[in-house]
Amino acid sequence: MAAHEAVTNDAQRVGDAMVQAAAVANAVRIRRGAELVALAERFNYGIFMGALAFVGLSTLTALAFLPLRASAENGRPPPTAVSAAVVVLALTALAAWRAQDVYRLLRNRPGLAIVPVLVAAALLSVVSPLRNELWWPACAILMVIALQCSLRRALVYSLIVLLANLAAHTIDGDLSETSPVGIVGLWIGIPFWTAMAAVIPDRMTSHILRLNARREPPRPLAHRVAVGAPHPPTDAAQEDEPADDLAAGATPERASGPTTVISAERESTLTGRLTTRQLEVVVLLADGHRYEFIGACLSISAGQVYRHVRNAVERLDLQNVNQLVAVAVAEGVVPPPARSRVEPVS
Amino acid sequence: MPSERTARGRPGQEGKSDTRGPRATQASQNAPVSTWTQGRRLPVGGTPLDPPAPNAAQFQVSERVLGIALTLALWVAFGNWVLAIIDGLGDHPARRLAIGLVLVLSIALALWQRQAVCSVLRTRPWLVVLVAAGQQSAVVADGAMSSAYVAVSMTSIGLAAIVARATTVWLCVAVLDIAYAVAIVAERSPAELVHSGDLAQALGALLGYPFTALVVLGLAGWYTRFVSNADAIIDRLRAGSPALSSALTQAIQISAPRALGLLPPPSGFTALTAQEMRVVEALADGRRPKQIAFDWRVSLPTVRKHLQRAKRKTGARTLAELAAMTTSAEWPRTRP
Repeated sequence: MAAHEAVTNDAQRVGDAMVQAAAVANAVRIRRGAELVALAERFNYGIFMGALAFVGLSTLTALAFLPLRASAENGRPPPTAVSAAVVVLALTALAAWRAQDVYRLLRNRPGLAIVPVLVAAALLSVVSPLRNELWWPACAILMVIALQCSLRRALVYSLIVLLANLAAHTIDGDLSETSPVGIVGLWIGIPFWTAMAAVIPDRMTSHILRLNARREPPRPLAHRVAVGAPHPPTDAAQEDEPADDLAAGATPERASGPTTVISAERESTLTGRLTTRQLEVVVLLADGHRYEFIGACLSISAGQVYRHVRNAVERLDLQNVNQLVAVAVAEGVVPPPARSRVEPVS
Repeated sequence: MPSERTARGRPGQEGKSDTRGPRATQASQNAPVSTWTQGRRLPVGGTPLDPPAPNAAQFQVSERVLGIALTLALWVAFGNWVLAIIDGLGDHPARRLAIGLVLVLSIALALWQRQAVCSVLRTRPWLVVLVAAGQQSAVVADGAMSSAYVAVSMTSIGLAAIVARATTVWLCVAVLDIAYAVAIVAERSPAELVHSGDLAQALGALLGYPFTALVVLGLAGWYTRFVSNADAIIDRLRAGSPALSSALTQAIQISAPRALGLLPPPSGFTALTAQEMRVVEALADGRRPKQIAFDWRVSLPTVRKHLQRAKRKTGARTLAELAAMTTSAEWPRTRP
């Protein structure tokens, strides 16, 4: 009875906190960086679970199709292929059971990704490259890995798998017997799907980040003095500025003279050019966190945070971190720091 | 024009206010951003937000996404065409080559005229079923079993998922599957299929279409559901639901009270001196303290002192946060 009461009390408290939080959140539409990063991580985690399901389903399908192919050759399905598929199925079930731990492990230690990559390489090498039922499971494993890493790294992993496959068949000596279509298809298909998995969910996540950062009307960096040739703000650029409709009352007039107002065209390329990881780092930087803490939040080292920052600065052709954060906030890629919401004392 | 702005005496705004007024009101009438958050109910007692009412805009194709999808389809078609050529072109080399060429060229044409395609598909999204039928007829003409272009007709499912609702996507899948199955059955008897070992390939293609639809629709559905639930998720995070990494939970717990306005604000920007503001703005311009000191002919420790004071007054923890504050609406301008 007491336990039951405690549970209801807890539920009541959580409910009250939720209502209060929701009420205040409606009044303060501002999103903090850490919340956005947590949001992006949830989305990523969902995709990761979906990809795990993809591995399981494709392995199951392969397992079902192996006897079909074998019956045509009047034999039993090759035992190595069947056992490999069963092992992969078991590993996938294990990974799905401890999905959060696996997700965190892959994020914490990107080097560990080589283990699933080797599993994929083994899958592709135990059966002939042409008419390979284990093509999709191997590709799906690579796609799961590609979700967690950059495009370049994903392509390197797929290259490792393909080279292992080529080496295995060269040693076997059956390379000359297989048709070139199977090999070329493999060499086109696996990098293609790996690249898709590396790019599309990443773009979606960064879009979610930007979408939620934009709740607050962005305000252009009007005080930025042009370093090179001055670009006076054009009418078209001002029309497209999303700040205009929402912040018209609150924003002071845009300064004239030798200032750079980032135009709409530049903005679209600018915001689209950062990867999710870079956006997450910038979002946490604007929150006022240090590199070590950001690294802890994102499960990476401080040095890796530094590298993300440097890459982002280079991509946007800026000077340093401070300018990067200022530009990102000004363009609404990142929400402004909540501290700045101070009532001006007039 | 709010009176507090003029009270702060910023130069050069009186002349502009009348040019800005009508444009601002016009822009706010067709406000393009954050319309979907307006007028939604708050979550009460932990129930998630209602899904937003289905509006027409949600299903509209954007030209950019269509362009990306068509580019991918073009790559797939071109890759499969190359594969068909490597394959030795089979029994009917000329026909096979021509079919691949027609596929590649038609997708390239759609990519080139994607504006027109986009406007047509916006009004009649069911037309993608015809696209699927056209691509599948190419596969059938190529000899369904030995066709190199099965993957190309799978791209029409992706296209359908982008431009139309789920029912249309499944309609496309049905068209593709039925056409393929009929072509296979007309081509070979079931016994022959089993003996030649091609049954697995045929079944793979037949299962591949609904599978692709499942993946694409799942991805799109997860995305839309997630976007419409973002508010609820963030509210739950603020209320103490843990994030995936513990440091992130900690960061949210640190910032949540301030984000919710439960902490008293720091002393604010008005306490900043003009020189401090200028230093912070120069910092946000990407200049280093050393450069600032050199340009202004003051010593580096002076610049550092200004920055330190600005940090203390605004409550910023790092220089990057300080730089981010210069873009806030309350930041007083020091330059005309």
